[in-house]
Amino acid sequence: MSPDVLFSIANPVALLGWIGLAMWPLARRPIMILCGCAIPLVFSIAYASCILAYWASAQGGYDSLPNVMLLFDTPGIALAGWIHYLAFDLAVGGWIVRDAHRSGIAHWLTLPSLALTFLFGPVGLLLHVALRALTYLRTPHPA
Amino acid sequence: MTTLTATPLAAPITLTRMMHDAPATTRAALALIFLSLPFFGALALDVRTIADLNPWIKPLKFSASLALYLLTLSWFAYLLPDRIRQDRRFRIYVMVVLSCIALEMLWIAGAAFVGTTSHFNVSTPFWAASYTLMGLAAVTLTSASLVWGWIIWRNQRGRFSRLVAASLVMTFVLTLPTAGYLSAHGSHFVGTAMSDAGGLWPFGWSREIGDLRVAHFFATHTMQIVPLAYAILLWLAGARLPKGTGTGLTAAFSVFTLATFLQALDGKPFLGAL
Repeated sequence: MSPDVLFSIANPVALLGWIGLAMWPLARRPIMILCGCAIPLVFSIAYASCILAYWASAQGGYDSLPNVMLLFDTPGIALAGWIHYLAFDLAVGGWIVRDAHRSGIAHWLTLPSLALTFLFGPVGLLLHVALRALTYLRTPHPA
Repeated sequence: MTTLTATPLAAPITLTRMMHDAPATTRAALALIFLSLPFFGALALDVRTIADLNPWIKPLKFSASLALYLLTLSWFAYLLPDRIRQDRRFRIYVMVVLSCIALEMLWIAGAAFVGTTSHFNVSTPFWAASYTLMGLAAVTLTSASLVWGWIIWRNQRGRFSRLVAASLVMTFVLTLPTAGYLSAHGSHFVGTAMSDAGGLWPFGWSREIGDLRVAHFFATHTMQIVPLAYAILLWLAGARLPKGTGTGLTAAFSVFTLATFLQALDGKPFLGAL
């Protein structure tokens, strides 16, 4: 299997995960298990496979930006990086859904956070944290 | 308990039972199976070759066989007395065995990762020292078959338990010389060093010259093959088997294993016609 083929499989799978998270209230437990747990786990295994297969032949490193760019010049490593994003963004998405539920935030309010996490990772997380802060400030707490 | 050991077909051992009887080895086996998943992925992705073969074939062979080894030990743990299974010294021994297995996997997978061979690799002081150390680890982890077999024999509960004990002990007795010779030989081939590719499926044994791995395979799997053969005969017969069936099976299989060893030493392939 070439990196391109794995890439073309990974993207639709990630999309499936995100659609699932968006529709979480329809079937909470199965969706969370599949989209918040199983799919990120599968991506993690795929990531590990990429590192095992491609790391030793790659050049560059983590110590400088040019070296990181050199690292990602290897298609297999770039793919690993992409799968890393897919895995962790989806894991964070699952956490956002659960965290919102625990904090009494309506699920539809998390949809922008989910969309932004899907597209721009940490930005979605920032939005959720801001939402949590607002909710906390609006709720009366003992002094 | 006696009904269980009277016939191995009466009450099959479940995963739950294995988890109860031998939590450490059962969990380690499941961990090895889980670890095989990234190996499979790497097998699909890696374009490198080591001796004309994908680098991840060997790590997979070892994770699969070591998982099977541990699951078999867990399966037979029901024949170990409770007081021994709970003994602190026994549990420490099991931890040592599991550590050796972990080190073996680290070495074999690590070598594949960097694109070199693990076995017979003495190219640098590091790899040479590793090879020696891993030899010691291999003997240690294999000793569990002897220890299990000895304990089960000493605490036998009927014919099947005696057969299991004998199979376990013979696993050790046959593996030590076959593996020992293999490791000292410098290569698994007996004859002109050739490519690893094009071997007998699924193990890749040479179809043209002697391959010492054949005997090593049968030796290490005595503990599965002989009890399984006995159970199948029992199921086919539908009644108690004649006295001496177990002894006969164990002896016949041991002779067969030795025969494959001699065949390889003679430079002849196993099932060369296929």
